[in-house]
Amino acid sequence: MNWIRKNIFGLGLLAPSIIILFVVSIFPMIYTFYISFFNYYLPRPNRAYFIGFENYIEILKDGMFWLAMKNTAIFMISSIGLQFIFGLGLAILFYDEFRGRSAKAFYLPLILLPMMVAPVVVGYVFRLLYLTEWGPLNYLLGFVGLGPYSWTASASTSLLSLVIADVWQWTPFVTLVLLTGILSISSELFEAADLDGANLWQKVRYIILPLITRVIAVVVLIRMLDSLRELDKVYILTQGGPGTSTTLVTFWSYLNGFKYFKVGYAAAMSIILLIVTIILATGMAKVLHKEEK
Amino acid sequence: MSKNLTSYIKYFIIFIAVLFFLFPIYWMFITTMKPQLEVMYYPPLFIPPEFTIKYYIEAFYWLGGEAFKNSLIITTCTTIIATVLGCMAGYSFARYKIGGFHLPFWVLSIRMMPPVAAIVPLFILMFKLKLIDTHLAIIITHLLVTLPFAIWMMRGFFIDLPLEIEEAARVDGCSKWQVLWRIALPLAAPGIAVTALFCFIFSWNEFVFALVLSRKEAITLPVVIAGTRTQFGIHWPIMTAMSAMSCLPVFFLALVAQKYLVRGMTLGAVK
Repeated sequence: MNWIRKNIFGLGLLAPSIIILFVVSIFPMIYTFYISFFNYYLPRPNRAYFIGFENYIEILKDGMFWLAMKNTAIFMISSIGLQFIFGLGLAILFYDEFRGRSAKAFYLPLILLPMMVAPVVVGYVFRLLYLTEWGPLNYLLGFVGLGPYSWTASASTSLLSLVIADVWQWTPFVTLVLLTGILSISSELFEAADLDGANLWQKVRYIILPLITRVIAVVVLIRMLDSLRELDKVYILTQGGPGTSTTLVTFWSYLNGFKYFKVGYAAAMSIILLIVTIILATGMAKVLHKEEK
Repeated sequence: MSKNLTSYIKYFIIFIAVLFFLFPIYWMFITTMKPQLEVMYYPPLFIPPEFTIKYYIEAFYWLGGEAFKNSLIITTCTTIIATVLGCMAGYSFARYKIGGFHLPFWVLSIRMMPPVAAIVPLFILMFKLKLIDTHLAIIITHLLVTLPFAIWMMRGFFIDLPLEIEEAARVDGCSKWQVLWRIALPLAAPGIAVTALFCFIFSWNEFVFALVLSRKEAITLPVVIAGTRTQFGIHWPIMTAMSAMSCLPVFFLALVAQKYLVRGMTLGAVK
């Protein structure tokens, strides 16, 4: 009671936000958890009935769910892997070339644009670039004797198309974050390394990588959490197809909820997705908490 | 000599990378200048055949203007609410340490949650409240994305402020409210601006909630862009013109906030 009286001002400032977040987040999540135990068909809410864990059992038995999980894993690993490799390479190049001087002002505005584009727009612009017969991508690849590929229209390249769009959008982000990490390293370390005659690879291996592990953890976790939510680009670029080649878990859950109206089933899948998210978010909390101490 | 050569190679790689990142955006802008049939032209035209803004005008009349207006209303309201509440809650977390680290982090984690985990109940709730296809419904759901972010960012900006000034003001007889209003808020003004800019960008680009909760009246720009497919095939010049309309405001804001871009996009983890 005393504690409340002492902190009444702080609690008062906090209250409206907590109430709103409860309404838009906690309540829906509890409700999602609740209906995940029901056979709930959206157009007939009154005929919903309790079925226990049956939705979960059915999901775990469903080959489509595991396929969607596999697609999500492939999408996540390949796009984050490429973003990391390209991002680190570019960050080191930028650092090495400009030593963080005023040059930052020159390249930053140029490469920050992709991450600001709405994912829906990214999806459409890439559809335009991927057009089989008239698209610039196949035209340019033709000069080096490749293609033409049908990109999003073929099951063998559709997931790759999605990965390329994601790599395009988020590599600049990874680059900028890693660059910020590298710039925060004391320049004396690099000067000492120069005096000892270290080459670029040795500097990367023994100075940069060990000192930016926290930044790497942050950027990889953020990208993982983002890819778990990925829905917009799939919706526009491929609609999960052709066939099931680009059906990610979020899109499969969305389809079940808003196309097949199997709401209980979709809810159970969201809960599974939420558990994965919580595990990743806990990792994020550890990284952030360590820094504040 | 060899040093010069490696230097040229590095510049060349940087040049290719920048080209790669800018090309799709360039392509979007030149497609807005191409007549519908020229999009389907071989070889593809890398320089616009004519400079016309006629498709922007067509896009504007073809739902684009209406959607731009809706997006502006929804995004502005969301930004104002999220920033004001974010300042209050962020200050409370930073100065009164309510809930230590874990309560604020729990708030932030809402931002990381997949929208599909909350979307069905929110849809049912909005349906029962007869709020489907209203600005209010979309503003409320956009708070789910922006408010946790705003609280977390403002908490970080307030923690960065020196505590001594506020303590001195308290000793001089300012009330807690005056300390917040007269001292902490003005000092945190750049942080507030940055937080607001990011809230604007997140809400402006948000798609899934707007798609599920709007039909006609409250339809936002990303949803209209997504809808250019179903109406009469994809009308590429109109679609890209609307895309450009959606990109320009956020590009402008991103350039304004570029100094804080990394901090904002990493949720304050990397400054």
